[in-house]
Amino acid sequence: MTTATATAEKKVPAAAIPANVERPVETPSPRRSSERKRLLAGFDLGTNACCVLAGPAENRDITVSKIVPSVVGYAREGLVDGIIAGNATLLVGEEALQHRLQLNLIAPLEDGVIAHRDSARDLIKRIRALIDPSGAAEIRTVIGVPANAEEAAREDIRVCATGVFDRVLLIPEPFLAALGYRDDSRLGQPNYVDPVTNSLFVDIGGGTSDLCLIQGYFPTREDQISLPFAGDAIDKIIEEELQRVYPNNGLSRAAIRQIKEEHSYVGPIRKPIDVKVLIGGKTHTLDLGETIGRACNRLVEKIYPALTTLIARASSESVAQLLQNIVVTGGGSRIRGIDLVLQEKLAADGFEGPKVRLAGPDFKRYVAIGALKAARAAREDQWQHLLA
Amino acid sequence: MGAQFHVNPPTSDTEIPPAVVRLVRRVCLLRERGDAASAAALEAGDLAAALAAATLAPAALASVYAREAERAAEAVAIGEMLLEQLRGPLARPAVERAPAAPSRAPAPRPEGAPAIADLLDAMLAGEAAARRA
Repeated sequence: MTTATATAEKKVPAAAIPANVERPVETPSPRRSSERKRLLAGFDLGTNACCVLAGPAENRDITVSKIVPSVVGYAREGLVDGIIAGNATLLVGEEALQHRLQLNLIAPLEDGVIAHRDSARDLIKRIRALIDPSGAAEIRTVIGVPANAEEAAREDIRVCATGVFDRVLLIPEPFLAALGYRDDSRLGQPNYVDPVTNSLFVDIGGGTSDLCLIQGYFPTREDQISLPFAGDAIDKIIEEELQRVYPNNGLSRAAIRQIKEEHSYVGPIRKPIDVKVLIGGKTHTLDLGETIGRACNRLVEKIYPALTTLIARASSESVAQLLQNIVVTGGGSRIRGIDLVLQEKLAADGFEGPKVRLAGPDFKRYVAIGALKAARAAREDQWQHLLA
Repeated sequence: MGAQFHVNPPTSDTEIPPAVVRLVRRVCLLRERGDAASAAALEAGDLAAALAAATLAPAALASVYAREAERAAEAVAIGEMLLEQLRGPLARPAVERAPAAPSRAPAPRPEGAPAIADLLDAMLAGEAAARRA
């Protein structure tokens, strides 16, 4: 049983940012000084949550490992003095969610790309402050982008990072996930298949589901497929179905996401899945088994054709091993049964010995882990300069 | 390359030693042709020495890089167009260039793990090719 509270959350357009918002002081332009401490960071700029790992350039230490909800909150007009600590007018991440009733909340990203530049910049500045509270270090950041992201989306990231990070490198997320998933300590062992050598990664996030064929060379555009259908789309389907079956239920998108994360599954419909919700202060029990199952199964309908498309691209010498190395990562890897359903569909369609596995409990961090590995390996000439 | 650089108005050429400009131009040409290793070697060697002897503001150097990168891209593009025009009855074979984006996935490399920096070189070369297209 799950209890979720219906709230009156509304999606606020960027124009609703109040004039009284104090924006943080602009980070000064980076100085070229050999004395500045250099930090390397791997940054997964996700639609619903960001993950950042960082450490000094001179060693392998990881001094920062944070997951931050991708939400920015601006104080509403007329707040009681002191209701937000320090009378802050701009909060990011968990702090913003905790004070959601006093803030206009904005999700800077939609479908994996930046939709609101100002808020995205505020989010990225917060990430920078987490990496380097002193504000003095030189920071070089590898940032994950959706597979086959358009140049405009990539430029948005660069613009928002200008003046915040000193150098950036934008790399597709499923490739970074494979790099992060790779167990460097097992490279060269006879029974270990390096995921960067021969694997197919399925990264199911909030905004996009990205699939990537990785076979020892950097994936081309044809090796990657990005579907604008992922966690948020499932939430929307559940919301619409709930509105149809239980009109005026008042459940917010956040509450629906919480219900989905608790009960999501694919495969044959499971009933009943009883969920307790508070609507108008009163407890109701809703049977959401069919609603959740139908919504999640839509994801499989979208992903499966993309999966077989990429398998078809693999050479005949490599495909047998590839079929044994299909990995599902991202938040969608928590959908119960997604690995088995995809595996069974492949087997039923005649693919030889497919094995689909889940990335495991560290799924939230693999893109950032891979990004930090890339940051440590990148040569001086591979970094992109960002100058205001 | 212009999309990667956000620079102040360029500094006058008279303030920048010609040797530095020539070396930056050479680096940019090497990168444009996909030879990142040679470009890096030149930057670490001759260019570094030339910069040590000069006193350049960071913005000035960035301006030189941006300008020469654009020139290198244009030069390569013009060279390719001229090559096409010089073909014809003579049917000279085209200059062989490594494809930036293979049309069919090759078999996975059996020997060891690919170096991350090499993979990044391929990524950057593919992006440069896409921008030219």
